[in-house]
Amino acid sequence: MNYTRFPIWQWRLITLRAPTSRTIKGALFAIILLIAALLLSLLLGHQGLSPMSLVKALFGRASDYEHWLLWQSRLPRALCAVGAGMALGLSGAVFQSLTRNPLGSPDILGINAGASAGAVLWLLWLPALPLLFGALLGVVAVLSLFFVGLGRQWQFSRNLILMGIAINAFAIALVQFALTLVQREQAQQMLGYLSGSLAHRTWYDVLLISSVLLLVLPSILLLSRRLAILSLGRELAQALGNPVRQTQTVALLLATLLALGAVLCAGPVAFVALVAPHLARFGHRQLALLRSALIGALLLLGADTLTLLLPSNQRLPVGVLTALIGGLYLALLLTRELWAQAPLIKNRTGK
Amino acid sequence: MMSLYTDDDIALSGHDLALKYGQRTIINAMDLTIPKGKLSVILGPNGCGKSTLLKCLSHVLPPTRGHVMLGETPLVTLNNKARARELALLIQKPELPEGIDVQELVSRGRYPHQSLWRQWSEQDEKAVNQALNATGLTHLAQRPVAELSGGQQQRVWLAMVLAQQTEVLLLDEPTSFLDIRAQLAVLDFCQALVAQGRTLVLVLHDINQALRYGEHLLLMRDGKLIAHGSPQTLLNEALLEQVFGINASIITDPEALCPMIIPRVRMASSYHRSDEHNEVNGGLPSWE
Repeated sequence: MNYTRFPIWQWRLITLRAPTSRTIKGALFAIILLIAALLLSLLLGHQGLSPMSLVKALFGRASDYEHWLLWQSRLPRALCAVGAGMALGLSGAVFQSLTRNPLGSPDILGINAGASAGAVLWLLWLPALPLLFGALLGVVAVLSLFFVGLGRQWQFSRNLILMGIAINAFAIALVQFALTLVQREQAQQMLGYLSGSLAHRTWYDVLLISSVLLLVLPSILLLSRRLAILSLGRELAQALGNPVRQTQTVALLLATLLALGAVLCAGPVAFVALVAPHLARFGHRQLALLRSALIGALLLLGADTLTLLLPSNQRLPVGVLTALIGGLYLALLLTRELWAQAPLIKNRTGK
Repeated sequence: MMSLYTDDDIALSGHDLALKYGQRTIINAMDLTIPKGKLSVILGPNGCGKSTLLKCLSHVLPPTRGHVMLGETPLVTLNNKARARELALLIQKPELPEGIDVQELVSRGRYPHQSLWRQWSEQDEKAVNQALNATGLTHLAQRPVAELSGGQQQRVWLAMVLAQQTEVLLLDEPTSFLDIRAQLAVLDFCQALVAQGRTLVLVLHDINQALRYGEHLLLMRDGKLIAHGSPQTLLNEALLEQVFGINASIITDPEALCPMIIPRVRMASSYHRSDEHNEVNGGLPSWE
């Protein structure tokens, strides 16, 4: 057979078959690419560091300003982008296999909107206490609507997605309602957050997103084989000995927690969770969850770096950019796929 | 319940089985036995609960009342994976994951043999290769399943349940949507599996195929088991009328020398005459 066994047993935990050497090379390549992108992002932008001062600052020999710029501004921001991007990519991939539907993603299912509605209302009424509680409450409210509103039927993806769309619309309305209640400056500030922004991130945010990732990642990797079996449909998965209900419940909770972490760290960034699993599906299928996480990180980091390249008087929140690029890209991808599948239509319009 | 078989010969049995979907009763107070090492066929009209019975016997839909016994072990005492190592179920229309290739799909049959501590092993690899070989799919191993023909796809699903290496296989309409050659190939293969000592339970629609290939027939109607036994002794015209609502005569299959049924000709002309003045149908013939 054309695969080589990889001696580290952890790798084999997360795939049904032993990973091929190609899969492993691909994963290593993506990790190297991510590190390169991280370094590059530190160098770019109107506040970018020169390569020389980056090296100096990394080893503590730069000027105070450069030291501050690297350690208190650019590095936490870049790490937040990587962490939140990973969380979004993973969350989207888990939601997609949970619902077995390409629309399964925390932004479509109202998780992001629920978290931001919670956060905004909290900011309105209890501004003294951390925003985290508000977002957490919002997410808990969304989940309870799923469980209470749909009962056992939540496990059928059509129900979950339709309910999610309804909740999403309701949560967005709540947010807009809250915005009408506040002063103009505060509304401006809220809007910036609500479209997803990575400006002014601190090590506190890095700590938050990395602890969410560290907490959730091992369980998700253990779950990934079960999710692969679930893609055969609920009944066949059950027949193969996969406790389907348990798998779906755990997957929903973990993916929601990831989305919550990302929202707290970067705001409700659009489209990364939806697009990353689609991109991860190119090429080999193994380790799809990890690939989706890495692609999510690359996407968010890339988009954030792009916003830094814009003139400083036009601060574009990163979420606006991901929605712009992501929306267009997804439309293009789908169109191309459909056209490739339907040569008849192509011929007819061609003549 | 009176059984045709002694306890040693029973692979699977249901005792007082009942299954409800919400308020609807699909299976009602059913006792049945599946003989070991034989090919059993479940027959019955559409919607009589055949597929549900297979799901119930494999605990994919656990019965709401009664219990299933695997030999002498109650099925509820086995955990999910242990159950899936004894009993494989191939449902009628399985979902095909997007972009999956043949080898990967067949590998999923090994899931119940794996655990946190027992990862992909030589044994798994061997089981998958054997299943691919037996179904003649080795040369297609790297091909996406979606590109294969209907008959080939059904072979892939069969290979997946074979890789599960269970003693008992439950197959729900494995011949549906296949051309006659592919149908016979599936049935011949099932027969060969039984000859090796495995127990197979098939849901079939073609009564004559059931009579030719089945060694034990179970006839169902409205969620109840109407009759069971060997094809040679079981069938009579009254039973066909009762279970399927058809008028057919039973003759001897000249090839296999087993019984076969020939539906009697219905007098179409009498329909036309009575429908001619039927205003409700607007002149169309009535269904029954």
